[in-house]
Amino acid sequence: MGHVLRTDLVKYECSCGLYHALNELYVCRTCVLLKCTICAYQHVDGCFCRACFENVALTEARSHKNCCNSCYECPVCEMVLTARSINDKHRLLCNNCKFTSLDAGYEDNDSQTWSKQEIINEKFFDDLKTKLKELSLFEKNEIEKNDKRRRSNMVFVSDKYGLHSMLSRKKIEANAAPLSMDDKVIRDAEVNELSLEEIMKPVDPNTIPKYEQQLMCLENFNAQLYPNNLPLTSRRSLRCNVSDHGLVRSEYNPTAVNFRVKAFAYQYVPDIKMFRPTKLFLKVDWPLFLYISNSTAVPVKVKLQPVNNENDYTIVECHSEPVECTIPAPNVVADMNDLEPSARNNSSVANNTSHNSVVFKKRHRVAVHFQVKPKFVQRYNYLVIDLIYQFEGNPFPVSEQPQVNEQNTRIKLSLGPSKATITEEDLNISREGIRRTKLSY
Amino acid sequence: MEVQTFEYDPKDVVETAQGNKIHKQCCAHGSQNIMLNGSSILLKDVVVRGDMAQVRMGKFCIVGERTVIRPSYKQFQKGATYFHSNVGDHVMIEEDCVIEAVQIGSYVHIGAGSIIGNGVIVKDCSIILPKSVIPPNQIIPPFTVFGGNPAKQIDDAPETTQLLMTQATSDYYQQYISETPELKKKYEDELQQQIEQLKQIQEELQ
Repeated sequence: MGHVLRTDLVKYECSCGLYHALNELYVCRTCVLLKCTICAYQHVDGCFCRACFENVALTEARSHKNCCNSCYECPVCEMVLTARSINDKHRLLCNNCKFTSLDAGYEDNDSQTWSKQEIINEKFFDDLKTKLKELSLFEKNEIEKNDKRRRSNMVFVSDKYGLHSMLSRKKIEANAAPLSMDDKVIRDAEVNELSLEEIMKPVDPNTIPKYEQQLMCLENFNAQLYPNNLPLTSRRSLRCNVSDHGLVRSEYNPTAVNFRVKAFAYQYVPDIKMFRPTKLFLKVDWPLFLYISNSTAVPVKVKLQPVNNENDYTIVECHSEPVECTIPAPNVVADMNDLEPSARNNSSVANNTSHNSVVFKKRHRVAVHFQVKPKFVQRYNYLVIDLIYQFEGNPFPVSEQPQVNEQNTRIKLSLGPSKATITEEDLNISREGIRRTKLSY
Repeated sequence: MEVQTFEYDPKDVVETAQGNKIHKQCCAHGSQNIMLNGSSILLKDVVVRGDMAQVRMGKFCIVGERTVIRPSYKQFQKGATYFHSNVGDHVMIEEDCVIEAVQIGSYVHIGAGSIIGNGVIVKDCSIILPKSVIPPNQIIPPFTVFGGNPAKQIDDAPETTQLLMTQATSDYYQQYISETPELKKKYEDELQQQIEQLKQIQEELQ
């Protein structure tokens, strides 16, 4: 994703083995595992219309074929149609391709209603569906009925109060098999012969709707395009597949950006970002600068260990020592003060050279450096690091959670293309060039 | 990737009391109608048409070069009326865009070269890809990625879009600093060092 921060360059390993960017991962608080949209269970929470933001319950949506009643989409370009009043009468109009309801054969009307097209044999199929549902229910009851019920010793009970006859009558009615449907379909013995002239008639391709347009209205067998009701969008919630606890659950209001339940890995795992795009040259150990930042409310002890894999040639060699440091929690007040112009000149950076690879530390961010060397000249090179982190305290805001143990995640950083030699282009570096580089990977 | 430092010549950019950094080459017509809520950046050659209607922008908004922000209008029988244009907080609008939307929500990222038509409502936390064209009177729902011409939904935006956009715009604002002589010298020295290192390595390889 071409986001400003290019979070797709640093990928973390999920508990299912796939690599995802940190903003696409979630953390389950009970099992303390990273989860992604592929390994977590997805549920549909509810539906809403993307034009009028009306919340529709799932059962109601099913009865309306998952479409909004009041919004329409253009059959030509799939954009939402707007109702415009011309001479006190309403008409549907597409702002993109200028399709109007007049083109579909509807006249302008006073009330904003556009009747749906008749579908051939709709009633027959609806009847068939209800009849099949009845049959399936009857079959289910038959199977569940316990045949090995205890047979009573009382074979004959006197029908003094009329209960026996009443009960037996009710029993017979309940167990009655459903009636079969009337067979309304009659095969016609006389069929018209196909005429070759009609089949071989020249057809103007401009009158036939495109494949995508035909797919949007499959119920219409004639080729004319009618405005369709807008399909509803569904809201999704995620649950962990191991502990069944919620990971993400959105609010009822479709326009809200808050979440009822949010367990983002972005707010838990230390975030690693590259400082600048690196150059990779063969046989040369070039420095790579990384920023590690802590976004939880407690300090975290972090250990970064580069992983070397001789068999995989896309992974660069890194023989730097593993980096160990403790990163404190972020200080929001100090960050806000930093934004003021007066503080900017005084911002001091603590040069804590307790470890060779740590370049500098500033509140909740630490910069480290590794020396990397690519193996071949190729378009994509990756650096694989093992991130081992342990929180000194409870990282989750909920106080009942227990102390969290040491966690281990593997990270894959995409470093871009590697070159064999240093060219003149590489030597012509300028500030403008650095600022305006667009990454090719 | 970290947001790179972007220095500007202090003669070219005006910094207001609320922290807004506006380039002197911006055409801000009707400046009394333009309201920036603080810590916003208007880069070079941005055109904001405050002479048609009010343009209100939230905090930490970044408008890229050569973008046009124009209030939307609606044609009636007696003439056209212009609507006030509202832009939310932490919005990043890249270069060469033409924005005629009536409302842009918060935490939105609009890619370079995109055209947003008249009367469009872009809700919060949505992403519009570069070079996309949104036809007039459309509504972009939250947490979606729209792209293409005419713009259709391509993907779902991640739920962490709010956090990412807050971080991206705050970092960009912090890195957009005025170029002092010391800073210029520092960067020049760094570049020289790098070039010398590369030359050394080039000699070693040869």
